[in-house]
Amino acid sequence: MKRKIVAVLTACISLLVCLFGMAMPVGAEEETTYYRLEFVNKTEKSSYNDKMPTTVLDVDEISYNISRVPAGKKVILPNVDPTENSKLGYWSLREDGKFKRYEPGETYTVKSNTTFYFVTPTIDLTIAAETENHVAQSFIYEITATDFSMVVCVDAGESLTIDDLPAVDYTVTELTAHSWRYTTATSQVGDTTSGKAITVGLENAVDGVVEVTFNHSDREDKWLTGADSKTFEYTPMFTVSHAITLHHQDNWYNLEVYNNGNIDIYVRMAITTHYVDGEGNISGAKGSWDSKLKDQALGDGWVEYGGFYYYTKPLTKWEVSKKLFANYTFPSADARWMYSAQSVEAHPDALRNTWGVVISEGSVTAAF
Amino acid sequence: MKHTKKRNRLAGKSRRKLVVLIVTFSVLLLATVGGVLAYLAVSTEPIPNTFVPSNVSCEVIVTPSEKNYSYSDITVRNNSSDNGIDGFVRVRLVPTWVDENGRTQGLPAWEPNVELNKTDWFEHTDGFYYYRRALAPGDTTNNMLTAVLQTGGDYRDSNFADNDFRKKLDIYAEIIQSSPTTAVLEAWKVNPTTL
Repeated sequence: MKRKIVAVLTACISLLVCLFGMAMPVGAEEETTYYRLEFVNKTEKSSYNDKMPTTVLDVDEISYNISRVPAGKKVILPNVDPTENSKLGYWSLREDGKFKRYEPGETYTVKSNTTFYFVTPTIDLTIAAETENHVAQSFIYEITATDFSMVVCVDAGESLTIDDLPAVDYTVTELTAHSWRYTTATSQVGDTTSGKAITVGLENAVDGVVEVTFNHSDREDKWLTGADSKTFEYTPMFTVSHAITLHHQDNWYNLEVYNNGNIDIYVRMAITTHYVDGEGNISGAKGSWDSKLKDQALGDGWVEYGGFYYYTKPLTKWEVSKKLFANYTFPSADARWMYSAQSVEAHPDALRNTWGVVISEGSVTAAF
Repeated sequence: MKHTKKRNRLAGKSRRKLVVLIVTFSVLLLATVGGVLAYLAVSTEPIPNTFVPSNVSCEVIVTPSEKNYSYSDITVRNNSSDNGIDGFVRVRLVPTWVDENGRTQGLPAWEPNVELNKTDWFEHTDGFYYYRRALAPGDTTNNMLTAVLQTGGDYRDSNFADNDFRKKLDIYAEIIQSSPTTAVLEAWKVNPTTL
C-alpha cells in the first residue's frame, strides 16, 4: 500500500515538474517579442518578418538600411552566408549618431532612432611594393571595381592593407607615371604574374585576405631626382543642414533647421512661392501670398536680410533652430512654397567669404 | 807579318776603347734615368681629385593654420646639400580613410576641396600638381593652395564621417634636375615652365 502511495506521489510530482518546465519557456517567450530580420534578396531589398509590416529598402553596394523597428523590441541580427574565402559581414547599428558593430546572431534591444546597416561580406587587400633598392620612393595604386575607385600610396619595400572591401573583383593598377624610374613592374598574386595591373577577387583570398605583390627592377638612374612625403591626418568638417517641415493638421506650416554636420554652423533659408496646377506642375508665377509671407512675424533668432532668412545664433552639432515663423497659416491649396537651407561654418571669415555678411545675435549686416 | 801584328794590336786597342765608351755611356744613362725616376718618386705628391657630386632632393612642408577657419599650407623645399642643383617639383595628394588604429579602410575618398594657387602651380591631367618654375637649392615653393588646405570634406565624405574615421592625406613630392630640359621631358613627359 505504502509503495503504491509513494509511486502515485512520485508520478504526480514528475507530472508537475514537467508541466512547470513546459510552461516556463512559453511564459518567457510571451514576455519578449523577437523580431528577426530576414533577407528577401540581399542585392535588392530586405524585409523583416510577419510581426512587422514588410519594408522595402533602398540598397547600395556597401550597406543597406533597415530602420523603423520599434524601440524596446528585440532583434536577432541574422546570419548571412559568407561567400567562400570572404570575411563574414557584420551589422553596424547607429544610435545617436554613433555606430557600433554587432556580429550576426547577436540579439539587440532596439533603442529609439536606431538605424540598421548590414555591411556585406568583405575581403582585405594587401598590396606590397618590392624594389631592389628601397630608396625614398612611393608607389601609387588605383583599386577599381564597378562604381568603386580608391587610390593608395605604398612606400618602397613596404606593404599596405586595405580593410573591409566589399567582396567583389578588383583591378589593382600601378600608376606608372609615378614610378617612371622603374622600367619594369610586374604584379603577382599567388603564382600568377601579370603586368602593371592585375584583377583579383574572392578566388584569390586566403582567410579573407588577398595579397598582391608588385616587383620593381631596373631603376633608372639617368637623371638626378629626389622625393619626399608627409602624411597629414584630420577629421573632415561638415556643414550639413536639413530643413525640417513642421505640418500641423490645421494647415499650419513651419520650418526648422537641423545641424547634421559635425561642426558649429550658421544657417539661412530661402523661400519662394509658386502656383501649381492640378497635376502639381509649378506655373512659374509667384503665389498671391508671396508678399504675405514677408509680413509674418519671425521666430526667435531669425532675421530677414537680402532675400534670405538668417538664423543669427550658431547651431552646434545635432542642434535644431527655433521655428522660422512665430505663427504662420498656409493660405491656399493651389500654391506651393519651395525652400532650401544653406549652412556655413560658424566663423566670421567663413561668413565674410561666402555670404558676405556679418552676423551677431539678432542682426545681419553686410561685410566690408 | 809585322804589319799584320801591328794592325791587330791597333784593332784590339780600338775595341777596348769602344767597350769602355759603351760601358761609360750605359752607366751615365742608367744614372740619369735612375736619378730622374728617383727624383720623381721622391718629389711628386699625389693630387687628390676631390669633388662633391651634384644632387637634388626635396622636403614636403605642411604647416597647419592657426586659424580655426580651416586649413594648412603645403610647400616644397629644394633641400639639396652642397653642390645641389636646381630642380622641377611636382606633388600628388592621395587621400584615404583610416580607423582609430590607423588602418586603411576600403572606402572611396576624395581630395579635399583644394583651391590651387594657379599662378605658381598647375594641376595636370596626370594627377600631379606641377610647380611652374625651377627651384634653386635652399628655396621653397610658394604655397600650393590659395585658401590653403581645406580640412573640410567633400559632401560625399559625410556618408563616412559618422564612423569616426579620419581622413589621411599622403602628400608625395618629387624633384628632378631642371637642366637639361631633356631630363624632365623624358622622365615626366612635361615641361613645367610651359604649362
